[in-house]
Amino acid sequence: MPALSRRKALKTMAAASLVPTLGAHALPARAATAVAPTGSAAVASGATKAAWSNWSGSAKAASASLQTPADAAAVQQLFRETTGVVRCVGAGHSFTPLVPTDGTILSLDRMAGLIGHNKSTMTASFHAGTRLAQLSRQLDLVGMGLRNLPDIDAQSFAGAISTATHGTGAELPALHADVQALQIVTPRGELLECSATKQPDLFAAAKVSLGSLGVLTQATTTVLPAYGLQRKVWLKPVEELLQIAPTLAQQHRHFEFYYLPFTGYAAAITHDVYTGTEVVHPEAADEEMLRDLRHLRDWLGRFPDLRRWVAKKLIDPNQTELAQDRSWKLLSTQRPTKFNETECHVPRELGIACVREIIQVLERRNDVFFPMEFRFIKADDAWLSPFYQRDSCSIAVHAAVGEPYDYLVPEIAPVFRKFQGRPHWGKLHGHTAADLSALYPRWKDFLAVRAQLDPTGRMLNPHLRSLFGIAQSA
Amino acid sequence: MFAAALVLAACSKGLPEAGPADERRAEAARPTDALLAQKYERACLTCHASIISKAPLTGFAAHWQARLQQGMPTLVAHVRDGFQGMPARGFCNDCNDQDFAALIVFMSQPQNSKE
Ligand SMILES: Cc1cc2nc3c(=O)[nH]c(=O)nc-3n(C[C@H](O)[C@H](O)[C@H](O)COP(=O)(O)OP(=O)(O)OC[C@H]3O[C@@H](n4cnc5c(N)ncnc54)[C@H](O)[C@@H]3O)c2cc1C
Repeated sequence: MPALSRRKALKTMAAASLVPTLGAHALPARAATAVAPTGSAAVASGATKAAWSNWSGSAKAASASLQTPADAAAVQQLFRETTGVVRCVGAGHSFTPLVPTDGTILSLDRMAGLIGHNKSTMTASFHAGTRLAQLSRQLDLVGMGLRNLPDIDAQSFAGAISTATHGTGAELPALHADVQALQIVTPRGELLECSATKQPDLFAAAKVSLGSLGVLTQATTTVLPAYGLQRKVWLKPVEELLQIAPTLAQQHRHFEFYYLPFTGYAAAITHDVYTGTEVVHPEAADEEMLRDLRHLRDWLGRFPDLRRWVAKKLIDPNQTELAQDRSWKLLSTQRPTKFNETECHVPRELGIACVREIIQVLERRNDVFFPMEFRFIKADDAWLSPFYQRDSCSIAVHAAVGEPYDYLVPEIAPVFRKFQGRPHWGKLHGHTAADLSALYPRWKDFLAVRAQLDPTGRMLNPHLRSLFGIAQSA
Repeated sequence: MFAAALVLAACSKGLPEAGPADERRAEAARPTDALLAQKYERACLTCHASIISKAPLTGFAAHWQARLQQGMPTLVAHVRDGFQGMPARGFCNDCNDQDFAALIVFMSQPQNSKE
C-alpha cells in the first residue's frame, strides 16, 4: 500500500468519513458470501485433531497432528516411521489451500536462523523455517541484505520461495532466483543437496515446488552488502501514470503503483539506493487510508460518478512523501487489515493493456474499494516459476476479509487468461492442470521429478492433486 | 478540517500514542532466558516491535494495561486460539501455554525508558 496514500493524500480523504452518518447508506452488496474471518497461521492442537487456518481464513484444516521437528534428522525420521500425508506450513500466508491436510502439518518453526555467511561469495545460508523478518535482521547484523523483499516479511523463507514470492523491480527477480543451493528431505526420508551444478534438474524443480517434492530444510542465497533505500510516493491520475509506468520501471530500482478504485488516481512508489545515513521514516497510515477508502465506498458506493467526483476534490495531487532507511525496513511492512487476494503475472509487454482491463472489470462492482497493486518482476529459470523465461508484470486484486471475495477468481481470471497470465501459486486462482501445462514449458519435467521423488503421493493434498492432474486419493 | 478530524480520532482512543523511541526500545528488548529470547525473536518481535502492525508494543505499558486486566488465562487463550490480529499460536508452533504466558509477561513489562 502506498505510503503517500497513507499520509496526506488519503488523510485528505478522511474528510469523506466526516460527513455525518453517511455510513448509514452502506452498500447492500456486502451481504453476499464471505468466509468468516478467523485467526491465522496455525493451530489449536488438541489431543486428536489440530484445527488450522491460514492468515486470511480462506483455507482451513483439521489435521491429525502438528509436528515441529528440531532438525533434518527428525524430518527424515518422521517420513521413515509414519505413513500418510505430510504438508509443510511456513507462516500460513498463502491464500490457496496448499497446506490443508487431514494428515500431518509440519512446521519448521524450530529450524530457523542464520547458519553462516560468506563475504567473498556474498552468500548466506539459513534454516528453511526462518521468517523473512528474522532473516533480514540477522543479515543486517553481519552487514548483508536480500536483493529484494515482498510487501510483508512474515513468511518463512521456504514458504516464500516455494510459491515464487516476489517484490517489485524491472531488473529484480523473485526471491527463489537468488537461491544458490537447497537441502531437502524427500518423502522417502533421504537428505539431498542440490544446486546449479549438483543435481541441476532437481534444483530447477525444487526452487518453486509448492511443498510437493520434499521438505526444504536449508537454503543458501545470494546477498548484497547491507544497503539503504530512498522511497518516493506520489499521486497521479491513473491514465497519466499508465503512460509513464514502463519508463519509471526502467529508471528506478523498484517501481510499483496502486490504483485507488473509483478515484481515478494511482499512487506511484519508487525505491532507489540511498548511500546517506539520515533516517527519515514517516509513520505509515495505510490503515487510515484503507478506512477512508472504505468510508467513501460506504457513503457513495451507489453513485460511482459522484464517488469519483468527490474523490478528485479530496485528493491533493501535489503531495509527495520521502522516506530513507535500511532496505528491509522500507521494502516490507505489516498488514493489520486482513484481505483475500488473487494475483497473476503477465508478459511484461502486455502488463499495461491487462491492467486497463482489470480496472474496468473491477469498477463494474460498486462495492470495490481495496487498492489494486501493479509490480514488475525479472525473469528466472525455475521450472514452476511464473516468471520462467519471462519478464513480467504482476497485477494483484484484493478484497477485505469480511467482505465478498468469491467474485475475485471468476470475474478477474478471464482477463488474466486473455493476457497469458500465470497465477501466483499462493494467491486465489482457478487455473487447472490443463491450463498450467500449456503455460509452463517444463511442466511435464516437473511432474516427472515429483513422481520420482514421491511415488506414493505423501506430499499431495487435494489442491495439489487437482493442480497436477493426479486423481484424488480414495 | 482534515487535521481536526485526525486529532479527534487520536483523542478518542484516550491512550498515549507510542512513538519512534518506544519502537526502538521494543526492537532492542529481549527476554533474559535464552530459549525464550529465541522464540521471541522469531515469532513475536516482528509485530510487537512495530507500531504499524497495531499489536501491543513490547515494553509500552499503556498498550498492555487493559489487556492484562483480562487475566493471564484469557490472554494465553487469545494467543493459543488466535484473536483479532493475533494469529493462532502467535507464529510459534512449538510454544506451549507456559511459553505464551512468559512471553506475555516479558512483553508487557515496562522497558527502561532511557534511550
Ligand atoms: C499479507 C500478505 C502479503 C503478501 N505479499 C506478497 C508479496 O508482496 N509478494 C508475493 O509474491 N506474495 C505475497 N504474499 C503471498 C505469500 O508470500 C506466499 O503465499 C508465501 O508462500 C507465504 O509464505 P508462508 O511462509 O506463509 O508459506 P505457507 O503459506 O505456509 O506455505 C506456502 C507453500 O510453501 C510450502 N512450504 C512451506 N515450508 C516448506 C518447507 N520447509 N519445505 C517445503 N515446502 C514448504 C507449503 O507446503 C506451501 O505449499 C502475501 C501474502 C499475504 C497474506
